[in-house]
Amino acid sequence: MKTTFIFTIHFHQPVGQVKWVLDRVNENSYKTLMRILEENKDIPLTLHFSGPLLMQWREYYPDLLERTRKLLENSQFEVMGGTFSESILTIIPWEDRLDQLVKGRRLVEELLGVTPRGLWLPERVWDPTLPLLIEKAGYDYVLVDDTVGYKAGLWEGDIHRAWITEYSGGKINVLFIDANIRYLLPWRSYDEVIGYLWRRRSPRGENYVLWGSDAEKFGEWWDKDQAEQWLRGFFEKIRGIEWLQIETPTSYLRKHGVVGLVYLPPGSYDKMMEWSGGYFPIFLRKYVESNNMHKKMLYVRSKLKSMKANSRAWEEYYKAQCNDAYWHGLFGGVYIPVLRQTVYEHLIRAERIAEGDTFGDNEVIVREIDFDYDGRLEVLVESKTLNAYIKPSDGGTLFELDVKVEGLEHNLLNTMTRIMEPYLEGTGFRPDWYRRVSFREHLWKHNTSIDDWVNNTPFIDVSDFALAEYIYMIKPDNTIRLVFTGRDWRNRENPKRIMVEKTYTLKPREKSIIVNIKWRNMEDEELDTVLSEELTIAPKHPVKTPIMPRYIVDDEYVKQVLEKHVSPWSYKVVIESPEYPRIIVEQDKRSQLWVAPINSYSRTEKGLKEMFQAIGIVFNHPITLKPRETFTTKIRIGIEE
Amino acid sequence: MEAKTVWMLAFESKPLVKIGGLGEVPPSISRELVKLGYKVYIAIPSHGIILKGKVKEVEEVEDVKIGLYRWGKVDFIVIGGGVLEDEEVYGPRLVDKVVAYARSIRNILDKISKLKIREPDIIHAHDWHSVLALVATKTYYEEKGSNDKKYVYQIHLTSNFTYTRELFEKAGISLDTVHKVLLPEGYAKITVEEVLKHSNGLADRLGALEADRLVTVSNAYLYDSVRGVKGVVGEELLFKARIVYNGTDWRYNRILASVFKNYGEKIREFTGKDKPSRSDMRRYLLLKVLGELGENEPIIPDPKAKEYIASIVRPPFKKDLKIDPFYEDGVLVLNTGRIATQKGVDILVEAIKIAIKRNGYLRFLLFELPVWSQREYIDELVKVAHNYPDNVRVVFGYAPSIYQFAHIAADIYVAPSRWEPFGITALEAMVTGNPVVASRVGGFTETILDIREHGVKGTGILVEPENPYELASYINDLARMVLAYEHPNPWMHIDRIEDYKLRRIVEENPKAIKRIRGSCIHRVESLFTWRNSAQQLDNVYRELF
Repeated sequence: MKTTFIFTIHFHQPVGQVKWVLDRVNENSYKTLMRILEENKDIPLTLHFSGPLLMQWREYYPDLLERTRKLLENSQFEVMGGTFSESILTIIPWEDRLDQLVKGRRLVEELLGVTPRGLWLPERVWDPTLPLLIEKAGYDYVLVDDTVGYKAGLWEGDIHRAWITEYSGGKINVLFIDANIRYLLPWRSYDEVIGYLWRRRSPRGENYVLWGSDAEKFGEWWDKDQAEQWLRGFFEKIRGIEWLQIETPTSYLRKHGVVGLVYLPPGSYDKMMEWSGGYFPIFLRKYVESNNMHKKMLYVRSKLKSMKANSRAWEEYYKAQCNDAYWHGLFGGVYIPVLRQTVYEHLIRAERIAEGDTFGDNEVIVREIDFDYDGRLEVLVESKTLNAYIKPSDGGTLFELDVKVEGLEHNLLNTMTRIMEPYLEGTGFRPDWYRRVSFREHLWKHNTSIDDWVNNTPFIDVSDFALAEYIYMIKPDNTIRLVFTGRDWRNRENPKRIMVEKTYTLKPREKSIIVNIKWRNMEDEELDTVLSEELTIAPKHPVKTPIMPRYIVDDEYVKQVLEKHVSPWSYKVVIESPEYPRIIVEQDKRSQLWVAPINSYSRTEKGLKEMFQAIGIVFNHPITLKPRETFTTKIRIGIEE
Repeated sequence: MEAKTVWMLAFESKPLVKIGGLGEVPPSISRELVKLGYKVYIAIPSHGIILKGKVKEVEEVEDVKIGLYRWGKVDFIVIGGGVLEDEEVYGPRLVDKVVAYARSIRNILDKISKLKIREPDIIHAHDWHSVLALVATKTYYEEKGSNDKKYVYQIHLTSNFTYTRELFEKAGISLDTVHKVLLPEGYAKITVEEVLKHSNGLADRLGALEADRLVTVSNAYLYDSVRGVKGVVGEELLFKARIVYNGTDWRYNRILASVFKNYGEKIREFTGKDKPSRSDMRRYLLLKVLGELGENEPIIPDPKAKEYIASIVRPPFKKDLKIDPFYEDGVLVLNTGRIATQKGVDILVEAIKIAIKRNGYLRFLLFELPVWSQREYIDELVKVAHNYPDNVRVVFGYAPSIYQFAHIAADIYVAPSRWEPFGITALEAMVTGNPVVASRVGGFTETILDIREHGVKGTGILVEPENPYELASYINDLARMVLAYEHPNPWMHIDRIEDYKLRRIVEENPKAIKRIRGSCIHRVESLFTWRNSAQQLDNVYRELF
């Protein structure tokens, strides 16, 4: 009686991971693992190195890459392939799926010198349509979580055998990752782990137990020394067990083959099913920012296709598909600003490369499309240097402002809206009631403070502008004029109408956008109120050195981004970060000014973490308007020339 | 045929009293009939104009005051005294007026020679209010033994009003009078009593029975068995029916010249162009002229309605019910008319809210004649103007100083009627170059050629009645056609045209709207003139002799 044990270690760092984290994980985890692997190269272990990680190693740690290559030459290890940028296959366009699989496979061949036979599915997000593509990409097998097998009606015994699944005539072998052992190894004692393996024995070792999980568990999430000691001890221990047969998936399949045919519903590991709500694309509905990146990706794709973009543009595009920024589970995911920032950088770069010289120097192009697939039209204004995306149905706000200049690719509206996560319930946290983007109008109740605004004190906005559907027109000069007639509801019996007229102007070649806001008293009586304009701006988060951005008010008051600032009579906020030109937010008149960090609170592997996302700015204009009188302000956002 | 004399019996008529379309038709056709050799009198109740001295009384018979008035070559017999002097044309004493009007006709017929007016060969009654007067005339001559007169009854708008024996008696009509009535099987001699019984007193059916010819304003209205003539009169009497289309005396070049005479210099100054285009005129209208209505405008005849509206309006209305101009140029969509359920102004309000969210360029200018009884619609109109001041202006009442200017500067006309016998306003819109988005009802189906079928020869779009979504959609489509013509980037607008047939027309010719404007003008000027109407009516009269 024997148990077959398949031990699969998955190495991954997201595209856009900051350098100092890469250094740390290398030291703590990868180098440790490398030592242990070198000591145990005669054991047939299974390894997966993600595409983004291999590219980072190539760029920053060529020694480590070379060391791995050498190790593989002289070991019993089997190396799996993956998608090029560790992208979730179910949320990317059909044609991209095959490209991702093929490019991912080639990357492994090129950088590690081995030909992978099995596919490590990113986040193990399975979809029943995948077999055709996986087979086409040249793989023999794929690893899927046992929860998916159970959902397909398999029994516990079946889960420890290999199967075939099929879609549209394409077939692929499937092995299941055992959830139980993931909770034991490396967290519990050797005896518990080995006891579990013992219970899975079968006459010829046809039952396998497949452990498949993250390399970073060893040294990064778990103390380096303890992890090293545990793993080294574990390998020593299992070497001597005569009923335990260690195999790779390929050798297992060669010996024991498959049991039969199975059809597997969409799914992933148990926790992922919980976080996503049962189906990975639901994240796109849960986080407006995920959806924004995803739809920007689809939009850029359509440009690449129509402009017959070169491979450089496509490579940038594929990098933007790396999964980490699109969701949130145990790690920050979508809450990590630098990950979103990187997605935008790659997409904007792809877009710029594709556009090439097609943009005339004096050209501004306006498109009306349902960019975010919500059934309403958005207005996309594009020049050679900037993209400004406007959402009339959400307060007429600006929700994306891309700098397209080479080397400065950045979405100045890479902001984050704070939603009520299950783990934030009961903490006193109040979620944002509107998307934290720019050019949203409010009329605050008297005595509203900067904290009321940042922390969403209920009912402080006495108007109905913020969430209004603005009526818009794209004028022949390509300015976008949006209008909404809202009300000051302070006196509920007699609300006062105010018409807001907001005009966005993007001038060709300039690196700034100008927004004119005209407030008009639509009553026959005087209106005494505070007219407020809210902006949220994402500084460029540094990736090389951990230095927080700062801001300067009126060229005078220098503040760290985590500080708040209130001033009675200001006009300008300049945002500085070490790896980017200064971002300038400037009003043509002075007013009361609030500046505050917009911080999120997210669960990470190290507990609840407050995370700086973007800088919130509010210009407040206390004013008395005579009947029919108008008040106009002009605000410019841009980067320093 | 020797020159015949026609007496038009009508409850209103311009230039003396005009409330709706009815007041337009008898005088306009009469003017052209005169040119064809007819002698025409229009007999209308005074509605206070004799009392006020606007028309001089020339004779008094019992309590009936008679005034004569000449309008070009058309003569008016104005019948006043007593209830007929009540200023409210269709007020609460309407039935008393109808009876008094009928009774007075007999007094006048008695005095024809003294009044030096010619005896009628043809008595042509318009709408239910005149039916009793028609019967009064017919029985008058029957009693006199002269039954060579011919009777025409014309329905402009059907009614469910019912005449009773009592009303006949009050009008001095003897129910026992035996008279000649054209039935499906031929002429028969029957009593008035029998006609009343056959018709159940239903005014339109009664009129149709008594008349030798029944006239109405469109085929669609004639055969409409729900609200139209067939539905009220019954199929068996349709053998008498003939169609006489309404018309308009508006002519594109005349109106353009008159607008230029009044505003030309200012428009040139405003636009800086020697030859301002239609869109230049529109811009001037929207941004300037709308804020400068004539001194006493808008004119609201119903004082209670006026007071009510003044009490609820806020900007962009002014206190005197004038309006602020628009803040920004756009595509001008026009609607004009009485405020009434029939006219579907509530459907329009719904469509406006839908349409402007799809197209911020839309500017709606509505000229609406308010009456106190229709406050709910007034409220709706005020609300939509309050809530969308960038896109909507409502002028309550008449504003003659800008009415034609608005037509000649507009881009699209919208006619959301629930039912519409004819719809003269659509003619006025088309002849000034506005394609019409109209409900597929009544006269619209004959006056408007659908662009989807006729391409650039079309003159509008017919939409499902009472469907604000479809109405909004086609207002938007036509507006996009206008924008495709005016804007440097037509494709941005062509892509937003929802109806693929319309989209294809503009794809082939981004200037399609200009051709369509031409088609609108041509269609009306060649087919729907009062001269044509008079010729159609002449044909009807000729059948009778």
